[in-house]
Amino acid sequence: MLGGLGGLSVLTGVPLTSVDHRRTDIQCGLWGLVALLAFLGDFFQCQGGVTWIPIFGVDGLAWSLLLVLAFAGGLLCSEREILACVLLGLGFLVSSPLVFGLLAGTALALLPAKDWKALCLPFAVLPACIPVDNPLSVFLLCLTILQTGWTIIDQQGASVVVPVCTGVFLLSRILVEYGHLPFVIQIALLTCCGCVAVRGCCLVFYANDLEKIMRGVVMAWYGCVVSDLLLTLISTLEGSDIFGIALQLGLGPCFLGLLVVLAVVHRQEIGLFIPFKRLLVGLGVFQGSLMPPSGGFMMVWSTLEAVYLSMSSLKPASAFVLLLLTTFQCVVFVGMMLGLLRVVLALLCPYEKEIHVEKGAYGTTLSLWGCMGGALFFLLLPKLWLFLTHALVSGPAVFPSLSWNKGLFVLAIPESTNFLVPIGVLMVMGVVLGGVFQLMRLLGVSLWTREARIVPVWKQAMPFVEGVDVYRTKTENVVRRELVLPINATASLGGGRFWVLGGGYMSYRDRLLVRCYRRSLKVLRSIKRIACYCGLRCNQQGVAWVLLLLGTGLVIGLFVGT
Amino acid sequence: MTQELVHTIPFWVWFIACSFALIVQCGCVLGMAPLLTGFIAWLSARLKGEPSFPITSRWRDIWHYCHRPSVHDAFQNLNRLFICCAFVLMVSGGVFIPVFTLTVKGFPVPNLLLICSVLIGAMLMLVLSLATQGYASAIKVSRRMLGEGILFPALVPVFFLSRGHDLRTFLTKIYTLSPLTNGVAYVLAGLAVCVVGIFSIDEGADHGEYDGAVLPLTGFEKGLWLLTFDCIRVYWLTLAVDIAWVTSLAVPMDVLGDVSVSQWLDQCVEGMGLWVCKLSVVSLGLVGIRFVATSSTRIMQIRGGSVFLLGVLAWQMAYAYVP
Repeated sequence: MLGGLGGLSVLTGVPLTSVDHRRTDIQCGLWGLVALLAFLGDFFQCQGGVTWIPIFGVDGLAWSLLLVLAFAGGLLCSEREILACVLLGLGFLVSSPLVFGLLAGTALALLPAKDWKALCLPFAVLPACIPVDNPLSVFLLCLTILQTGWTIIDQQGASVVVPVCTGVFLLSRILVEYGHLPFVIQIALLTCCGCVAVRGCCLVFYANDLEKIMRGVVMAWYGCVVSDLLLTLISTLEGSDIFGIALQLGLGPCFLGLLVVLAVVHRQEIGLFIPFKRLLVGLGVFQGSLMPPSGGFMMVWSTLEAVYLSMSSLKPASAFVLLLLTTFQCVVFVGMMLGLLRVVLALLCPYEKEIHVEKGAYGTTLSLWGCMGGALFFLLLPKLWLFLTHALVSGPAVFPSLSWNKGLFVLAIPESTNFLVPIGVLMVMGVVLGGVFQLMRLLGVSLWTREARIVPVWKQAMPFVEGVDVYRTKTENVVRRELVLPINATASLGGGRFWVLGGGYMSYRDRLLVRCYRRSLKVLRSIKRIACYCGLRCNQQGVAWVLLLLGTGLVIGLFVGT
Repeated sequence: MTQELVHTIPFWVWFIACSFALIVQCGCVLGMAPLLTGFIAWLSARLKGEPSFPITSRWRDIWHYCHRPSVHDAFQNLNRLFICCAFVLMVSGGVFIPVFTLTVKGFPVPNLLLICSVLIGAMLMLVLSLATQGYASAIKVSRRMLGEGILFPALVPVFFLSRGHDLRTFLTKIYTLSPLTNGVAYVLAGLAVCVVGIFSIDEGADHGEYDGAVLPLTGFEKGLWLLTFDCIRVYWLTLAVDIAWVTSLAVPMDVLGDVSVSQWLDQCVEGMGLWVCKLSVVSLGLVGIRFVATSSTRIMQIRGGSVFLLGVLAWQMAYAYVP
């Protein structure tokens, strides 16, 4: 099926003219079959190699990530992105790390990236190609985290799944071999995750484009997920296994919900009825938010449970550091939630221009609903999702019991008496909602049928007048967007601006420093220009140059390793 | 004889009794919250030497707005959706906060993290309904959203104090601790939660403080907004005084040994009286805040910092006793 998808994305023109108008539907159907196959393979824990092609083999980790990849694959619209997704899926299914490196590197090379990032991105898979005891390995892992995280900024729509899955797969495979790492290395890797998360939060606050905001949200989420992965696999904390549950839940309902919002934001002209579109966005935002019992909330809940358990055996100073780390992670989540609220305001407000929508492919719409349905399904059955993705952090899992207390509906933590029942929380909210409506009916207050007194706009009391006169300087559409999306407003809460190199008298030493600074800037600019030129050439020549460079890197890695 | 009667009462009767108690508690908060706001406005006006409205003025406002037609607005339906969501979230989270009694063992109660998340979510929904009022208003709202959202990480040390237990178990565990010795950490934690309620910025106060904030809503939306805001504030304050002084709550069967039904009912009445007294004392803090002339941004910064620092202090003290 992956081969068929790959062929369908590569072959254009004459050979497929007869099915060209159904191409999207066929692709979405194939992705659906891949998802079903991955689900069944993961559920029945099919493992092992294929005898007639020895290079291929599957295990729990491959099935889990293939499932996520298949959900996202149906949301992609560009043939190039689909091909990247297919190559990565094949990479998950191969047993040789070198072949995985080639396939994943090619997939990353196919992704859109700017300037020097296009050149460097395929090298993110180098840690898979060198032995773990190589001294460069940890450094390359740091680069992998940074590269896969930072490239999310340049992705369009659901194609963020490629760097995300590559990073998680690679780190999960390699860090299991490492075992526990020294404290300094742990700090270095966690700092890289923090950099990615902070960059994402900055993008959330400063970006003035909906898609950029969503990319920032995904970037911040990726930083949190990778930090959970690191804490699970390389830390010596007592409850480190529980961080793995946070990682699994993060990759499940939370990520699927974010993917749907990304796809809707990217394809504004998507052939969806506007209320359905708003419903999808609302559900997706809910999944990524901190509102109980969403996927984001379950992730934070698991993280806090893990920290409770870890703190019991820690010295006060270490426990305090862990407390600060958790607080930082919660700050990142709050940043994500504020970004999602900005998106909601922009997409739900009536200012949104009603775009003339041509009827889209059924497959795309079905993919959106399928992805959201999957997110909701796994939200209500968290234990099933934990069972499916157990291989992300450790070996195969035991199938959960079907009892109510410790069954599929309950998110329970091993070694702890605490548990969370998402469906129970939703039921309580439903009961309260029903009660409120009944009470309002009894009191004679109606929510939706009240008459509204219509007055002219100038009488509607605009209480505040401040800021620039945006009405005269910008087009109508932009003005309306800014009415609900103030740019940089939230950032001004934290403090003022930084002023660099103020005027005034400078000594000879200072002038020398300034001159050196300017010259170094020139040199840096030249290096950047060369890197950009190389990246441009690589893009022009397809992936040939990138593969060549990647192959060189592999040879060097092997040489250094032996 | 009474003890025997307690043992013969089946669990489901206690379950129904506790459910009824939760509904009564919710009704108490819904009725009391606007009165508390009215009391604060009355007291602060008296202390300033200004003419004051009666204590029931806030209730009259809410009733008045709920029966007025709204001014037509492009965002009217959206605002209603946000405010109704806020109200439902407020009730869903707050109904489990004990006002005068704890629940019986086995009764499903969420933990502190879930309750606080729902209350913060309700606060954010209230702020969202202000975000659709135009460019300048949206700037303030963005700051407010950040200020309300940052409460979640600020409360993380307090979440650690509860160690993930549900609220009933957590309060039962600290029931026997002395507030002067081994339970002082929880008094500090209660103070941290109290700061959240005290530093709430009342957009509907119509007094012109805090950057001249005015609630730009009309009709039913404004009435529901005011009621929800008051209730959320009272729930924060109730949660705070529960953590700081848990012995003022009534205890049903099996929480701390057997208690007879009549004793439990007596304790409930006593607890309700104490709850009113506690809120009256805490409201002095709210009055004090009204005399501090500062901006809403500054208030949010002070609130976030204070909550986090008090929480860390409480966590460190609790860590010394129970590592």
